Amino acid sequence: MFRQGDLLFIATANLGDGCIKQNSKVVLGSSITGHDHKITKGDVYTHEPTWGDNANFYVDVPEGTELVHPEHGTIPMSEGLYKVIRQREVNGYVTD
Amino acid sequence: MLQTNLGIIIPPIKFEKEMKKLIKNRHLVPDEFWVRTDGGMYEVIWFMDRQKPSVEQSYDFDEERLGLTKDGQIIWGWDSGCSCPSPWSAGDYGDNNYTVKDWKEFVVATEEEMKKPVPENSWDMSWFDKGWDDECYSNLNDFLLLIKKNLKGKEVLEVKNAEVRRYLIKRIGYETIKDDVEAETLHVDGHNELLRFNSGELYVKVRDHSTSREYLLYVEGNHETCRSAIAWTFGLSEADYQPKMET
Repeated sequence: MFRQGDLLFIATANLGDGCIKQNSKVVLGSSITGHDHKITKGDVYTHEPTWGDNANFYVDVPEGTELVHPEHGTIPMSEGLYKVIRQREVNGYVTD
Repeated sequence: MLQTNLGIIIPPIKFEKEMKKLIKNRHLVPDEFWVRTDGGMYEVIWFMDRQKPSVEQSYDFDEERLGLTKDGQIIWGWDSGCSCPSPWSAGDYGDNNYTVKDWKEFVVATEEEMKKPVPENSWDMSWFDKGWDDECYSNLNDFLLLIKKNLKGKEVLEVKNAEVRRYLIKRIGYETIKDDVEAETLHVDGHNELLRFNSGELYVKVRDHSTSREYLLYVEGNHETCRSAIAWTFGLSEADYQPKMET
């Protein structure tokens, strides 16, 4: 488990139901800051979030992948599948 | 567009479309201005992403006026004597006159309102001359934020966007916010602080590991520790929240 800003990455064995592989390597961008959380290799998957399970992203990455962001420190990632949880508060997600 | 208790937040897309056009054509950026809406006078804060190409910034406030429409559109006008070109220059501009092309229901601050002295407790907005030296501006793309004068702590906490709320908290002051809502400190963990407000709401103040920016997050549940509240923001229990690395 590791965290970059408002995203928490947890190693997992299974991809969530209904996930769709994205063409982009952007895990999450912000409409306010314009700064993206991005993986340097691998694939991003998304599905619609539901309340009580706010993990709406998965990333499947090979060895040597890095998680990068303009303002947050780079995180080296081990090969594997990760569930990505967005930070939330009562009013919704911390970033939009 | 976001309609908040503070006024209107104009999202980046609309802002860029309209204001970049204005900048491109006029090479002018106002460094301090107010607008009046139906809700009263509002301070206008212009956030600019410093990573984008800068524009020439010359400015004569006495000759410039900005109007804001109810639906968030912007109109620009000026007093006679200003030689600056404008995207709306087809209009007829006389003293204190403003012309709108396809802009509806706008309200422009009057000359009289503009001349009112700035209250002592208002904010100095003259940052353009100093450059972008405040870190809080670098975290936001271009957009306008209208801030009501004499903003209260409770109003700030009702702002849903955490990034905008963070900015406002910084402007007003964290301790001022706490005083306004009669916050009780339940737990302190380094820079993090768990608070209960007089209304019963629980908030956790957190400091970002990389940027050192501080956020106040509204949490649910009966938390006794900051870590428990932070874990909740990720949908986890305190025991399950064990990040090995944070940046």
